[in-house]
Amino acid sequence: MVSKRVVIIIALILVFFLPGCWSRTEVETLAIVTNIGIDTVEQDGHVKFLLTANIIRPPLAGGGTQGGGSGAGKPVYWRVASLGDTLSDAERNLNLRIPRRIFYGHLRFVVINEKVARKGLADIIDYLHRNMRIRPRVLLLLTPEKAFDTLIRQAELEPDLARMIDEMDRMALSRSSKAFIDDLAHTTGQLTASGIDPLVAGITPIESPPTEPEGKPVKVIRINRGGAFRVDKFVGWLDSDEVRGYLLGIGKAQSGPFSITLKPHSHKDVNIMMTRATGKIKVDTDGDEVTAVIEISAEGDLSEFHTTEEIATDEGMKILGQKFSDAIKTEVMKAVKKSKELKSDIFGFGAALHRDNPAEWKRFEKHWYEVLPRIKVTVKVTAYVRRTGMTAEPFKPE
Amino acid sequence: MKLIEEGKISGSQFMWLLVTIVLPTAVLFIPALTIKYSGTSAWISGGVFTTIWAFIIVWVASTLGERFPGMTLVDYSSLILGKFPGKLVGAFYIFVLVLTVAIVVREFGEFLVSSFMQQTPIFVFNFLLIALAASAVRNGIEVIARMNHFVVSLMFFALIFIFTLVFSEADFKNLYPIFEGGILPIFRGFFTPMGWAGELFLIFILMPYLNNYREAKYAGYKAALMLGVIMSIDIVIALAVFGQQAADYVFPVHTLATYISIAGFLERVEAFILALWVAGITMKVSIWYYCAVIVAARTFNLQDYKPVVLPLGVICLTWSITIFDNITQLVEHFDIAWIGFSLTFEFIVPALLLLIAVLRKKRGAEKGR
Amino acid sequence: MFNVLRRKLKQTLGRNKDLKVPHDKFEHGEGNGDKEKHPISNSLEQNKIILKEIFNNCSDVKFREFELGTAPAVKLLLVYIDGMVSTSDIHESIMNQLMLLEGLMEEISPEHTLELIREKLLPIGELSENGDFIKITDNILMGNAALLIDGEKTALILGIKEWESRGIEEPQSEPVVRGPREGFTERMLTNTMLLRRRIKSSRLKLEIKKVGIVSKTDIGIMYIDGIANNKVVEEVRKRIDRIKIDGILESGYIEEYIQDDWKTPFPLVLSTERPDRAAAHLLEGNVIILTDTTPFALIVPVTFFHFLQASEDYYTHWVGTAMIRLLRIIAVNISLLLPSFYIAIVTFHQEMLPTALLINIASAREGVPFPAFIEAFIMEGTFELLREAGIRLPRPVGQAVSIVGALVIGQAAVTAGLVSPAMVIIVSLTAISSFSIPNYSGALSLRILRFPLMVLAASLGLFGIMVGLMALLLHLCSLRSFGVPYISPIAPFIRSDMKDSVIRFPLWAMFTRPRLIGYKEPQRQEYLQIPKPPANPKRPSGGKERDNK
Repeated sequence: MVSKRVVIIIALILVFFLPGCWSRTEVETLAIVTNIGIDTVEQDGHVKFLLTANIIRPPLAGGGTQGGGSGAGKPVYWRVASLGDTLSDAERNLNLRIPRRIFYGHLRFVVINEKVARKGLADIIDYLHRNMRIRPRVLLLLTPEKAFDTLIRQAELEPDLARMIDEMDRMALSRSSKAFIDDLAHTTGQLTASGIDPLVAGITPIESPPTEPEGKPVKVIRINRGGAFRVDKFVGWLDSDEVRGYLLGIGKAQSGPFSITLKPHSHKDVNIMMTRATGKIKVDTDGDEVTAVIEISAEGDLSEFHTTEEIATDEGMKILGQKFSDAIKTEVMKAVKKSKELKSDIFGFGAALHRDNPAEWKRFEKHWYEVLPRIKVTVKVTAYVRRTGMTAEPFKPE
Repeated sequence: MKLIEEGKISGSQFMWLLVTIVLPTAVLFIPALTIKYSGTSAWISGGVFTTIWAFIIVWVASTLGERFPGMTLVDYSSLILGKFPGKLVGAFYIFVLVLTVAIVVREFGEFLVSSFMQQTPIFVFNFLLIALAASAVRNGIEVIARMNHFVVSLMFFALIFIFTLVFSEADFKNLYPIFEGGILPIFRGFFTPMGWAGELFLIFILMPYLNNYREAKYAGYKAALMLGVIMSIDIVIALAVFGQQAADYVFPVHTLATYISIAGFLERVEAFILALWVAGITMKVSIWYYCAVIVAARTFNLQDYKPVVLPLGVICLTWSITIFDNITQLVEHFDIAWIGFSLTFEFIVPALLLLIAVLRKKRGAEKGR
Repeated sequence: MFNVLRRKLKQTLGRNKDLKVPHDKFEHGEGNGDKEKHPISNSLEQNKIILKEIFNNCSDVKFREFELGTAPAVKLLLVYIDGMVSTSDIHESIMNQLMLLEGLMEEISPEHTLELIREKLLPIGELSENGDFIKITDNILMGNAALLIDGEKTALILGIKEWESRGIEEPQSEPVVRGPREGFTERMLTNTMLLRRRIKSSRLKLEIKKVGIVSKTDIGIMYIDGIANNKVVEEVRKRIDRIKIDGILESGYIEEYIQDDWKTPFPLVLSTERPDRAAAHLLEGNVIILTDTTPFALIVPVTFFHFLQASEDYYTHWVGTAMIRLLRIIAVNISLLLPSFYIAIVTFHQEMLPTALLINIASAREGVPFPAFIEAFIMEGTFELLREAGIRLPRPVGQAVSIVGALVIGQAAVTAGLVSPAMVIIVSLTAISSFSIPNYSGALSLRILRFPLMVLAASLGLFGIMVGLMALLLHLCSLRSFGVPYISPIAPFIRSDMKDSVIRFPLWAMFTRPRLIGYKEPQRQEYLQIPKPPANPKRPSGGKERDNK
C-alpha cells in the first residue's frame, strides 16, 4: 500500500518535472557577453540607445585528433551592436542577429560614452541593477569616443578587453595608484548617497606604433584619468595625478612612485615608492564656513636616486620624508582644486559632514554645490621614508 | 490532555527550532525594510529593539505555557475561556498559522524566481517546498528537530561565510551618523522586524513537546538573544558594504553574496548560499506547518494529526499562489499590514489569555514527569 | 535436499505405528522447544530401520555396527556423516575404545551398558544423551556422531565435529596498512575464538541460536554484559527469533530481516570481516551477530558515520586520521553530488563558474549532441556497468576490462564527440571518491542516490539538488538502527560523540563510549591520560632516584 503510493507520487513528480526544465539553458546555447558599451544615437528625432556587446565564441574543441598537442583554438571575441528605445529593448534586439541567449552572468565591465554620461547615468545604472545576472562587481568606465569603437580596441597581452580591464583593476592600477576603476555597487552607492559623488575611471584611446616593421598602428586604450560626476551627471575629467590625489585623500591609494626634486636646480632627481598610505577626511563648520581636514599618513621606500649626495643618514631620510609629504600634499590639493572647479564632491566632504554633524549637514544640504567651492581644505600629511632599497648610498661611478 | 503526538525534544533542540522559526526569512528581508526607515540606525531598530521585543514575547508565551504544563494551546484556552471560545482561539490560530505558512512560502518562491530562475513558474517552488515540509511534518516533531539541528548549522555556516568574506569590503563610516532624525525613524523601522521577532510566540504551541517545560523560557531568551545578534550583524554588514543603497536591494544578503570576491577565485558563490537558504526556509515552513497541523488536530478533537497534513498543505499551497499579485504587494504587506496583524496574534491574544488566566486563577495541574 | 529429508522422516515415522507423525516444523519454528517428542525405541534394529529411512539416499551418512563385549555382546550402532566428523576420533576415541579395550573391563551388565560407555569408555569431551529422533537427526546433521545401543532408549551424542575449513586469512574486503591481518572465517567457532582472544572477559557473552528451518544455521549473538544496552540485546534476540526462513546462507539474509526499515537505501547494519573491528564495537557497546558459514559478522546498532570509519583509523596517528576522516566526508559529498552539481551549473548557473572555465566547458560541449544531463547519465551508467563487470569477471580479465573501459571508451567517446572531456573528469572523480568510502554497502547507497539527484539537478538546478538533499536529510533523520538515530552525533547533536565522527580525536580524549550505544557504562577509560614527558626533563625516567629522596 505505502510503497504503491510512494511510487505513484514519485512518478507524478517525475512526469511533472521532466518536460518542464524552464530555466534550463545548455552552456553551448549561451552568448557569453564579457563587456558592453553604451552610446546614444539620434534617430527620427528620438534618442535611442546603442548597445554594443563583446561576445565570446568558444572555439570548437577537439574536432578530431589531428589537432595534436595544440588542441582547441583560441576563443573568438566578437563585437555586435543593436539599437533600441531602451537598453532592454536593445539587448533583446541583439537576438535578431544572434541565435543564442544573451548571457550577462560573466559581464566584466561596462563602457559608457562620455556624452551619454553627461546626460546622466541613472537610467543605465537602473538597467544594470535590475538585471539579476549582472553582478554588483561589474566595472564602470567612461570613454570619450563612441563605446562602439572602444570595444574593438586591442588588448594586446591579454586575450580580450574584459580580461585586460579585470587584470588592470586587480593588479596593475594599484601599482601606481594613478587610476582607479570603481564597480557598479560602489558607484551606485555614491550616486544615491547624499554628499558624495562618484568618480568613474576614464579611458584614453591611443594609437600605439606598429609592432611589426610594416604593420599598421595598433589601436589600444589607456586608463589614465577619472570622470567626476555631479549627482549622476558627468562634469569633467581628473588627470592621473589628480586621480592619485583623490585616492590619497579617500585612503584608497596603495602604492605608487613619487618623483620629487631634492636639489634646488635639478628636476625630479629622487623617486620615492609609496608602500602604504591611509587617508581620512574630517569636516567641520564654523558659522557659514565649512572647513575640511584631510589627514594622510604615508610610508615609502627610496627607489631611485639621481644625485651623489650622502643620503643614508637619519637627517637625509627626514629631508626625503619632508619632500615626500610635500609631493603628496600637492597632489591632493590639485585634486581638491579640481573637485571644487567641477563642483563635484568626489571626496565626499558632504558625506563626512553628514557623518560627523548631521544637524549642520541639514543646514547645508540644500545648497551644497554652492558651498563646495568655498570649503577651506587643509591637508595634513605625515610621510616617512623607511628603507633605501638594496643599496644604501647612491651609485657612484669613479 | 492528549498531546496527539508523542515526540519529545530537548531544550537545545527547542532553542534551535525557535531560531529557525524566525531567522531564514528575517535575514533576507529585514535589512532592506529597516534601513529604508531607520537609515544608518537600522541596527538599533532591527537588532536592539527587536531583541527587547523578542524577550517580551518569549516571556508572555512561556509564562502562559508554564502555567499549563503539558497542555496544548486549545486545551488551556478552553480551560481559561470556556469550551467554545477556546475552540475559537484554536480556529483563529489555524487561520494565522496557515496564512503565515502561505506567506513564507510565497516569499521564498518570490525570492527564487526573482534572483535565481526567472522562467520557472513560482508554483513549482511552492509545491516542492510544501511537499517537503509536509513529509517532514508527517515524521513528527522529533525528526523536524533533528533535521533542524543540522540545517541551522548549515545556515550559520552560510551566514558566517558571507559576513567574513565581505568584511574586507565593509566601510564602517557608512554607519554614521547614529540617531539621525531622533528616535522616531528608529521606531518606524522597528515595526517591521517586530513582526518577525514576535514569531517566537510559537513557544506556547511547541512547549508541550519539550522534555522539561521549565527549559522553555531560558531557551527562548537564548534564541532571542542569538537572533538579535545575528540581525544586528546582518544589518550592520549590509549597511557597511552598501550604505543607504542597501534599502534599494530587495534581498541585501543575496547581493552581499554576489559581491564576494576574494583573490579573484573565491567569487560567484551566491548560488551556494541560495541553496543553503532553501534548507533553512524548508525548516521554517515545516515548523510553522507542524504548529498549524497540531492546533488544527486538537481543535477538531482528532486522535491523530496526520490526516490534517494533506488538506492544510493544499490550502497553504493554493493560498501561497493567490495571496499576492506581485512582489510589491508582498513587501507592502510587511511594511504596512503586517504590524497590526502580527501584533494581534503574536502579542495581544497570548497576553490576554495570560491575563485572564491570572485573573480567573486558572492553572494546569503539575504533572510529575 | 534437507527438505526431502524432512519429508522422508515424516513418511517413515508415519509408517511406524508406535510413533507419532511429527508436526511440520514450518508451523512451529525452532524457538518453542519441540514439544512433540519422537522417542527412539529400545530395539536397535528398529531404530536402524528408521534412521536408514530418514537418511535414505544420503550416501555420506555412515552406519557402523559393532559389538561391545563378548559374554552377551551388546550391539552398537554408530551413525555419522562422513566428512563432518573427525576420522581419527572415530578410530581412536570410539572404535578403539569400545572394540579393543572392553576386554579389560569386568563383565557387562545390560542395565549399565550406557553408563559404562559414558562414564568409563569414551574419552570424548562433548558427550550427551538423547532419546529423540529429531534431536538425534539434527545432531548427526550438525556433524556429531550418534551411538545407539541395543536395549537403551537413549542414544549417546558424541561431539566430534570436524570439517575442512579455510584457515584464518587476511580479510579481502577491508584491507589495512597497519593492523592485524586476521579475518573472520566461515567457521563460527573460529570467529568466536578470534573475539575471545581479543576480549578475555567473562562478560563477553555468546548466545547461539539456530535460524533457518531447513538449514539450521548457527547464529551467534555476542555482546559484553554491562556495556551493551540490554534493550538492544533483547531486541536483537527478538528480531532473530522472528526470522522464519528455510535457510540462512549469508549474514546478508539476517541483515535484511533485522533492519529497522526495509525501504531505505542506506545500510542499517554494519558488516565486517575484521575481528579487531568487531571487538572494538563490542567494547563500545554494540552487539555482534555472527553467522556460521560466512566470514561477515554483523554489527548493530550503527550510525551513518560508522560506514566512514575503517579499523585502521584507530591504529595510525590521530592527526593523519582526522584528516583522512575529513577527506572521506568530502569523498561522500563528491560521490553523491558531483555529477548533479555539474549538471546544475552547466545548465542553470553558468554565472558560478570562472569565465575562463566557462569558456572551456562551452567549447568542449560545442560539438556534443546531448544535453548535459543525458551526457552525464550515459557516462555514469557506463561507469557503473564497467565497475560491475570488473567485479564479476575472473580477476585477470576483470582488470583488463576496467582498464579498457576506462581508458579506451572514455578516450573514444571524447574523440567521437559523444561526451565532453569535462564530463569524463567528473565521472572519474566521482568513481575515485566512491572507492575511497571504506564500506561497500555505504558506498553503494550513495551510488544509487546519485541518479535521482541528477534528475532533480537537470530539472531544477541547485534548487532541485537542495530539495533532493533535504528529502534525503529528512529520510536520514527519520531512520533508526535499533533505536539509535542514524546520523546521531550530528542530529541529534552529541558533543562527546563528535570526537569520533567527522574527525578523530586522540585516543586519550575519547574517554566516553558513544552515548546512545554504550550509555550503560559511559566511561571507557580514565580521564585525561595525556601522555607526558617525564616530570624532570633533565633526567631520563629510568634514571637514579637517589636525588629525589
